[in-house]
Amino acid sequence: MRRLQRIVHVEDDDSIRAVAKVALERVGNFTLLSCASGAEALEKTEQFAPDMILLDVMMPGLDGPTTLKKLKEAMDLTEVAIVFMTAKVQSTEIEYYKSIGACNVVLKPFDVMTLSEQLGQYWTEFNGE
Amino acid sequence: MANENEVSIQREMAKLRGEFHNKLISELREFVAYANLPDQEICRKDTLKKLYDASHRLAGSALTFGYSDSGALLRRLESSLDGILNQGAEIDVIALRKQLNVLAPAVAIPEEIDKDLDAQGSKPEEAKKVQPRAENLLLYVLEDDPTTSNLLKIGLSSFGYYVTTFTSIATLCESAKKDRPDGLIVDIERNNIAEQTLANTTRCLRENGMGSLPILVVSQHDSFAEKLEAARNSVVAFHSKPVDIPALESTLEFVLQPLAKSPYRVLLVDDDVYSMEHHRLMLDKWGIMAHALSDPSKILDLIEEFQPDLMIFDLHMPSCTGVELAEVVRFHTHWIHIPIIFLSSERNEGRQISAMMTSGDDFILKPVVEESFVATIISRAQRARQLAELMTRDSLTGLLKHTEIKERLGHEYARAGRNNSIVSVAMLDIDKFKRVNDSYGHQTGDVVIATLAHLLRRGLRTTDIIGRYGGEEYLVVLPDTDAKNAAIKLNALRKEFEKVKFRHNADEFNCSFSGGICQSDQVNNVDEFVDQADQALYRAKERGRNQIVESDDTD
Repeated sequence: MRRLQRIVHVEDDDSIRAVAKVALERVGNFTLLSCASGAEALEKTEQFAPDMILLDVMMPGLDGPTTLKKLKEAMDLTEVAIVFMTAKVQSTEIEYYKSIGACNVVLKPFDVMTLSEQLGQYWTEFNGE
Repeated sequence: MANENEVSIQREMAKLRGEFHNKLISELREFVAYANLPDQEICRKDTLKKLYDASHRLAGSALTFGYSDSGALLRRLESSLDGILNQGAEIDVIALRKQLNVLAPAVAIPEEIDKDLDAQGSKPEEAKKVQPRAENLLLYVLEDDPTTSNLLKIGLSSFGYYVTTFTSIATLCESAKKDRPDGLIVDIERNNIAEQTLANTTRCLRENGMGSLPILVVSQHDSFAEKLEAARNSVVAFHSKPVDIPALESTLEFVLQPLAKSPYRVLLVDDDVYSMEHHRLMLDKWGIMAHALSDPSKILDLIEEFQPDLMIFDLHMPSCTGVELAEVVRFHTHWIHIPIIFLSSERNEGRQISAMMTSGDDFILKPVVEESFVATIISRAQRARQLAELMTRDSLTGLLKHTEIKERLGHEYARAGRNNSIVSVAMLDIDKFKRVNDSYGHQTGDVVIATLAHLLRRGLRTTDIIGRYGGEEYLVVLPDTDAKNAAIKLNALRKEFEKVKFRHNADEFNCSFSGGICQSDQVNNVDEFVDQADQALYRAKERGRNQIVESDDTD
């Protein structure tokens, strides 16, 4: 199995981006591309060639699902694990995100110390373990 | 992970958290500012949309940084706005304003502040808690002794709490992720070596995001050293074993029911209306209800009417000094618990006054510094409210004591007369209570008494006034309610009460109560009022108990 190394994080709130940066770069030792909007992600993701994209669901402008749709149109995402981040917890919603191509969902607020571990598990699942 | 690395990560987080704290405060201020806009401005779609986006974003980051109170309030706002914008709910401007107003910076209290490795001694003053779920609070009990654990579960359940027991802190923390409790009861002498000390336990709770929850401790020991240890670990209450359930329940009531339920009330007296208004607005901004009075001679009636938690007097007024005014107020001993704070612009005078101050409690120099001024007022008002509660409340039931409820009844009766409205009074008595005490002991009897108190408090309106009148006798005052409606309400509670199962060892039993009701326009004075209710109660008992009788029902 490929190692999880490169992650794109798309989130409009800069405080949360900063926390995720600590969680993913410092705790998880991942290589991170942080995007402040769906538009920025569309611009930079392909070149970054990520293993995983972590998408906030509710953002002004392009929301998470729309960003995903546009990313899919622009590039091949079959090898990329898509994870949504949301505060909503209903299982129907999680099912919905899975139906549009997410492999799993991270609930907000996330824990700085364990986020990387959680993504690691999702990565293993994504690769069919 | 290397320990050093962890420390540096924690440091980075502390720094981010510090930055976020300032951002949160300034954003919360903006929310409150929106509340002051005129109706049509607030209701504009783009304003609502802006607030919706902002509340969603800030809620997310507040929760990420462990600001659970402001996060929850923001989420609530977000969901109301979602209703209006996306689900066609009608705009309730008043409710919306309220939701904006509660977002004062005072709610920006982080729950994990202790986690910051470099935040030495920077604990926030008294964390003002936002109201938890109004009823059916969830308690977690950490206890590996099955007897005590059972006692706590059964005893506290009968008071309407949801209780879940755990034997290890790991399972407790796991469960808290799904269902966050409102409070924790921890036995500090559990057998598990690894989590033995209280410091370890509380640290573990903090690390799992439960640092802001009230922790109550039960202990085999009752020594000063144990209590000191508890105090050092921010424990809110200490009970020694065997646990006295009713006593524990009243502590819970005290720590879980937020004292800031209604805003603090402050009476300002100053002849300089500009300076007074300045102070009033300052307090108002922080959610404190301040009433301004420029003529000191009107103060006595105003205290009676406004019922302040705290008073602020300017020292220099033309008709009398602040100190003289305080002396006059102190002639009335039942207001002795209300703190008085003096304001003056002369530094030296402050020292002198403080040194000889007998009637006042504190001295603040003008011009006041907003944050510290408000902090002083809040902490004093909070303490005063706690003391007032303890003075006037019955310790078993948390209801008003006999003299207090009679006085309140007098007020309500007089008020109904003035306003041409109707107030009802009900006298309730637990049926055959002596038999409960004789067969199951006083401790069980106390549980019955406290249970009915809890039921009444939960089932009646906040405007209704409930007192423990005698041993197993309760007096309830229901403003703006006639006897018929009072009977409907109390009958519903009566039916609920008769279903409650009490336990003593292996025995299960039920209780009931009877009640007599009278409405104010059927009597000529307050003594007759109580007397009529009492006679109706007597008839209810005569007719076979477990029923409510109105005073005009004399057949």
